[in-house]
Amino acid sequence: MSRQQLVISLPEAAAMIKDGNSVGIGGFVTTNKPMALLREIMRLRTRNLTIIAPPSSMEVDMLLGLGMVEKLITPYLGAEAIAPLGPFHSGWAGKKFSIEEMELGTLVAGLRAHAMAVPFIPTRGVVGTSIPSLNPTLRYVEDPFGGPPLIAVPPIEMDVVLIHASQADCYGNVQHLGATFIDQLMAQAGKKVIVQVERIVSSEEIRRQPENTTLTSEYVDAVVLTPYGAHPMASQNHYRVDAEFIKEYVRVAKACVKGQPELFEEFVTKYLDNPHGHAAYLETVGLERLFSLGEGA
Amino acid sequence: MFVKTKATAKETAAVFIARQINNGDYISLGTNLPVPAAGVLLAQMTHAPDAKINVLSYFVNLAGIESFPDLGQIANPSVARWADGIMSVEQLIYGIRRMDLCFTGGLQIDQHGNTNLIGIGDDYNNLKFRGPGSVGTSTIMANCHKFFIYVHDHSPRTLVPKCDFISAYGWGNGGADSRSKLGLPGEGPKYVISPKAIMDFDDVNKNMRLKHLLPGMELTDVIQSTGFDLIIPEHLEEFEPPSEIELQILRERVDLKGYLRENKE
Repeated sequence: MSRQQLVISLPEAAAMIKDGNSVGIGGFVTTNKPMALLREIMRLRTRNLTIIAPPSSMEVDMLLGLGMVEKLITPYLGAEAIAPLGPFHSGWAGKKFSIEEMELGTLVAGLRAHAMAVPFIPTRGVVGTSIPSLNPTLRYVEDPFGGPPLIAVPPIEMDVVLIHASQADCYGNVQHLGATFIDQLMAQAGKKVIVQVERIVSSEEIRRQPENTTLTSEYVDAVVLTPYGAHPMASQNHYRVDAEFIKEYVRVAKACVKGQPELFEEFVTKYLDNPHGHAAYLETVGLERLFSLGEGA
Repeated sequence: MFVKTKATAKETAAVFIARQINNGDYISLGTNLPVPAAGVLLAQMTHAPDAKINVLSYFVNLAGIESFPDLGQIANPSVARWADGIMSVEQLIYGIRRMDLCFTGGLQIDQHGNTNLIGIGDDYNNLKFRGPGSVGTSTIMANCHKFFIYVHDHSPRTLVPKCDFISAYGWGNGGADSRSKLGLPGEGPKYVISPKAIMDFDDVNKNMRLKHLLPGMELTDVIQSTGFDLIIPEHLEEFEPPSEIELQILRERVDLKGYLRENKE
């Protein structure tokens, strides 16, 4: 009997996400975001999603702008020095989608609680802040050893986790070749894990340096080949963030929340709906632009 | 190409930060804070070659580099080229107690050093402005040995008597025991740094207090630009201005693009 191969197509991967699912998005702010997977899900306009993400950027703002999100759980949404975003920073929060106020240490505790199958993990992190009063899932809990009260963070569940990494073999052994942020924790806490990679390599290539493996196949359900798949975000060891692209998005998203949706709709048509498949998206962006993002350029 | 002009307020603030850093300190640098980043890099390139700088979970050492390309893009995976190692964000979060110094900003900063990155308004479900969110500041500022607050905009809109929401706890409602009562391990906010002034906190009531005026700033302007009664000491401490070598390193190796030489706040 031969080993099971996990490589599937983008449409097959996107079909794994159903209306009403909770979806975890890996990466960190503008680095290693599973954009190709997200674009395919956005094309389907899968609805009523709960999004769980570490610090994130325009990919989550776009999901909000497309009306796909019911609840958002993230400690940060922005584009760092580039600019504030559209729907997230607008008056849409609390109306078109709800926010479960979150903080990074608290998110880590909730994901770890789920991975460990314990009812909560105590943390000191948000004691004294407004976050326990804004997030109804958090509770103050007595310290059984007599110290001041702590915050109990309950398990955070995810139906599907989407991750971007550098390379994997066809059996689902993944190597980031750079920072992993909280991708490993998310994979341990997720029900299903889909990893998009810049390249698929041989099993021998992975085994040459197994210490570089960041997710063993135990934690991976599917692998999708998506070269340049993090664009416009950075992919560690491969290409830099396309700041001009994010600026363009911010411009159309801001106009959209001010009641002028036309430019946002044009953007969505051009980059999401018209290109049929990942290669067509890359052709729309253009090789010259993609190559100019090479590390050190 | 070192131009020998007087230090700007932001350059002076960066020099102040650099001088607070001890060799060997473990420092975490967040995003979008060019003045603190410049201070940390200046310290690393002068008296603190052993400082451990964590950016985006990369532990980098920049002591020997010719120059840093872009102070505005410090949380960028390109820093990997100077990394000694990488930790996962989970490992970082669970190992904060070794962290000596961190920085946070805020949409609002109150007179007791609490900061707000959540939003502006009375009604959480109908905010006037939704902020970016707390990132990891609640957990990090609760635990790291000490932290500095950087204020982009020294105005009554930002420096307020009380934050609408608190994302990172400073000294709560005041009082030197406010943190220990909650069991917060860190020593709390030590300095507040703005483009106009350096401030610290009264030892007893932990109200914000003026420490130094930055070059070219007037006392009356700082008082009027602060939305609460800043404690003004009888004698303001003199701050030894940036030396020629500090300025030269800042301009030629740290801040090539001139973020600290712009006049705007």
